[in-house]
Amino acid sequence: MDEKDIKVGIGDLNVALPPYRLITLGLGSCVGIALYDSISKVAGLAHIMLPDSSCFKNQKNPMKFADAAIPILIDKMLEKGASRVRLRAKIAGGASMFSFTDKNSILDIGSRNVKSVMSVLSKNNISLIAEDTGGNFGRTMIVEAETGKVYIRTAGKGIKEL
Amino acid sequence: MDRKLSEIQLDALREVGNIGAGNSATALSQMMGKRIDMSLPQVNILSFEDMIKRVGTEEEIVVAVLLKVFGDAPGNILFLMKQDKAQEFAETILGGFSEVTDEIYLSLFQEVGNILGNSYINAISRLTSLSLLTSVPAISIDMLAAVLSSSFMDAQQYSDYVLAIDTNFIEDGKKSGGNFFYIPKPGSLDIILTKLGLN
Repeated sequence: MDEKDIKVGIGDLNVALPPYRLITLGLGSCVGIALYDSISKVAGLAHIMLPDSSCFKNQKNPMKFADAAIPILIDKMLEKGASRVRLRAKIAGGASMFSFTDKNSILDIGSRNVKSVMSVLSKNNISLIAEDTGGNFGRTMIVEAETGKVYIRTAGKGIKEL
Repeated sequence: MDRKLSEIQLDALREVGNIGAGNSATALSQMMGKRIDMSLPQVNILSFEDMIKRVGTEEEIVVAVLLKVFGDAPGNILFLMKQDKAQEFAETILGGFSEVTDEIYLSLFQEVGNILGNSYINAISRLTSLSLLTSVPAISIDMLAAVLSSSFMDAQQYSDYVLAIDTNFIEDGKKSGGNFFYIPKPGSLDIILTKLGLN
C-alpha cells in the first residue's frame, strides 16, 4: 500500500479519481466488484460478503450484500461524475477456501456470491468485461483510477492484470 | 452477533473455552514433546477488521485448518498458524524425516488441527453433555483475511460484529504464533448457555 491507495474494508465500498487506486485485501468467499467509467475516470470498488439482503432484517450495513452494495456504488460514482451507460465491471473472488471431500461440508457461499453479483450487474445493465472467480485461493484486488486497470494479487503467485 | 451477553455468561463461555483449550494444549504438548500452554481464552464480539488485527495483517500467509462442528451446537473450529511459525513447528515434529514433501506437510497440519479441534470439542461436549461431532479437517495456506472471513461466513455469522472464542498457544512464555478459534453458528451459544444453566 502506498499513499495513493485507498483501502476498501470487508463489507465496504469506495470511489476514487486519478491518481488514486482502490485496494481491497484478502478476498476469500467474498467478491470484489470494480466499476469503471473510462471517460470520466471514476473508479469504484465494493467488497461484498453475502449474496442477498432480502433474508435479513435489521441489517445496519447494506454494503456487505451484493444486491444492496452495487446500486449504492453506482450512485456514488454518478455523484462523482460517472455516466451510468459507460460503466463496465470486473469482478474477483468468490473462492471456496477450504476443500472438503465430504459433500455436506463444501463451503458454497463463494459461488453464490458470484452468481448474485452477476445477476445484479445485469439487472443494472452493466456489462461484465473480466472476472477471476472461484478456485480455492484468496485474492487482493487493486483498481487504478487513471487507467481502469484491475490487478489481482494472490499468495505465492504474484500480481497479474485482470 | 446481535445479542448481548451478560458478564456471568461471558465468564462461563471463557471457562468452557478454557477447559477446551487446556485439553488441546495437552494434546499439542504431547505431540511436540515439550510444554505448550494456552492463553486464557477471549470471548470477543468484534468487527471483521478487528478480528483480523488480533491475529496479524490481512495479506499475511497463514496455515489454516478448518473443522466443521455438527450436532447440537454447530459451528466451525479454525486453527491458524503463521507461515514461518508453521515451518518451525513442522521441523520440530518431523525432526527425523530427511525429506518432507508438501503432502506430508499438509497432512501434518491437518492432523494437528484434527487433534486440537477434537480435544476442544470433546471437552465442551463432556461439560455440557451436548452431542458434537467434527468433520474431517480441510486445510488452506493463504491470506489471513480470506480464510478468516470465509470461516465466519460459513458459520453464518453474518452480522457486522462476529463472535469468536479464541486463544493463543504459548511456548516457553512466548506467544507461539498459533491461534485457535471456535466460531459458533447462531443459536449454538444459547444452547451451550442453557445447558450450563445460565440462560
